[in-house]
Amino acid sequence: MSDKDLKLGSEIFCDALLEEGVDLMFGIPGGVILPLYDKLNKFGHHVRHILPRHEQGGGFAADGYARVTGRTGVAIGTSGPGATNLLTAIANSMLDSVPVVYITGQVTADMMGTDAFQETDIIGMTMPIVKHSELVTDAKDVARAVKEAFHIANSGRPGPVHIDFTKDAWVTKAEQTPYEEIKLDLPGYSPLPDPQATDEEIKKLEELLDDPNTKPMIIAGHGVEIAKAQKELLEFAEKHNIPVCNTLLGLSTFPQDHKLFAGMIGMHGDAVTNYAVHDANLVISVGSRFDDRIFGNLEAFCKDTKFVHVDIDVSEFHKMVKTDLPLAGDAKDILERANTLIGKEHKYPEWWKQIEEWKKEYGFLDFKVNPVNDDTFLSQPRIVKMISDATNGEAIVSADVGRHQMWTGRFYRFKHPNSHLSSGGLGSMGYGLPAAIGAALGVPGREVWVINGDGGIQMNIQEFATIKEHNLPIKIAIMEDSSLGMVRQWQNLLFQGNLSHSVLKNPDFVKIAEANGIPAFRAKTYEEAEEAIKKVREINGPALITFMVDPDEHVFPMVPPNTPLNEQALSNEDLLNDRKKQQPL
Amino acid sequence: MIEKSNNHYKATATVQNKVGVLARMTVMLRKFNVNIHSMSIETVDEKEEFFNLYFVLDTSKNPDEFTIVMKKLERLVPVVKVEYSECAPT
Repeated sequence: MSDKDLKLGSEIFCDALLEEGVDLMFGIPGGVILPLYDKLNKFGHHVRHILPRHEQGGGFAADGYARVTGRTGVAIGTSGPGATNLLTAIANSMLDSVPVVYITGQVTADMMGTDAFQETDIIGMTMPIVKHSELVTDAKDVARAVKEAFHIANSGRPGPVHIDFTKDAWVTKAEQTPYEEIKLDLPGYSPLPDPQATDEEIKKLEELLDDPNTKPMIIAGHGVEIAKAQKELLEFAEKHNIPVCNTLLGLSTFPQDHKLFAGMIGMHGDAVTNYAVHDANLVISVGSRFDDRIFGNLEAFCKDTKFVHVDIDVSEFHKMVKTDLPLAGDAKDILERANTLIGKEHKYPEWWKQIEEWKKEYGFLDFKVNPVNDDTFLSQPRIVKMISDATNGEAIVSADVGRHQMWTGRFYRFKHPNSHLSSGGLGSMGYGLPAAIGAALGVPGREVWVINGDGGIQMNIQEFATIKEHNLPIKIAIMEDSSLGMVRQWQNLLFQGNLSHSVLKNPDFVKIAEANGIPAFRAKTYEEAEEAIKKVREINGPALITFMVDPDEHVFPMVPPNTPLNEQALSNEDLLNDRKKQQPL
Repeated sequence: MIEKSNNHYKATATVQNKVGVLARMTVMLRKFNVNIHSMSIETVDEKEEFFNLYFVLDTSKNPDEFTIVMKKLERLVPVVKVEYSECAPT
């Protein structure tokens, strides 16, 4: 074969992306990855490349794109700082099981280990935070590595896959094998568990549901969204009349106006939900890994409760709670089979009576406005509800991390699946804004809002320029309380009000937005807030509102760490009067 | 010198012969604070595509907790199979 019949590794890479159906990627060029970029713009008519202003922004944007579309995101950085800047985004995708292929450049193979310019051992650094990774040093391995990466990232329990390409991989040449003929070399990888739950195991669920004393609850997590099992979950819940609550990442997987919807569980979940889960004696978890933010005190959480755990990842069984009935497999398949195999319907009138009583006593899907400072500051949950009402729950909402994130989860009434973006596991401030970029590009035509704190917005504020460059119609709501709000809450309530380094002296966000060509408004009253929400929705492009909110409005309920769910604090007084709940650890 | 833990386990992992596979495994063991007391290696096939890694592991994890660690280890892509059992301290 003559040299002219061979293709450069960079060309093979671009072809492989096309074969994988990639239509969008986020990346920043630099040193050793320039040979790839020399080819990438020639593929521009097939694959849209977005230039974020920081690799972390690009990684989060790819993550947001993957969450709203269900497709695999792609983020690119060069070697050294370009690669290390991706680390937080990679960890975020890992902890929330999001399929993203992360591409980094590496110095030439013969220079590896010499501390060359912009050399970092990025494979070594990412090992604990990726589903898989591979170093590629030669053009002949490029297509196989890409094919394996996309297969691993978006099959089974999804997750990030990282490929580190040395410069040699781009500039050497190889014969191009037809993509469909490339064989995956993954003898150790199986997307589905082996063995999967049998019909007999699934039928055991019926015995648990049959017990007349059963008080069942379904916890629906992110796995429901990943498996696209919303319809099957609804059918199962309706058939057996079981209340369904969501984890933070499970929000938007169950219709929130449904009579069986039982709110959000967890540290800042709904009061009724937390009481109900604590009191339930049968918990059916679908696609949730029992994160410590949902169970409070593990011993109390497990007391006298039977657990059914539906998960595609068998290493999650018994990790946090001892499961009575683990059901291994894809949530959609297991629920489908359960709906067929369990013929009998169930009703739990006494259990529902208790839940309705809790709803009356504590309110449900409702909020309280801080009565003390209401004249001085806006209330965050009320602003979230105003946005929810204005958009009729139809928008994609990308929250950052902090108090506004919890209120977004509680008070935005999501009507569609794949509409709620949040850094759940990693809890990474700076996520909300770039993730919205991925969402806006991934699902053009959908209304996209960012609900952000004033701390988090400054962690990736450079992406205003990216948003403006592409005139993305993202509406940015900043909850400006001049604080790292959740930190302030913990310091107020658990550290005797010692506000150590959590107060922000903010820049003028309106001016920053305007300097980027983004129309911006400041709202100090509810009238101004309502007017601003109306105005930004009419603007055909990005727009920003900064809401001047109360720094001392705390998110309640609050389940302090290691506290049973039923001992959740419902107010400042409730928490401050009970010293037991003030243990920070 | 680390403090010796009470629980010891033997584990055998069949892995692909790829650069970094041992690093991936030790990263996972470290994440769960499991110490490698000893290890040895043998080839499985003539082409040397697979290896068996034999570990004696030293950890405070009880058998149930250790099972989770082994399941996590088995989920690593180049790891084909993991078998394990408790053993007496060496």
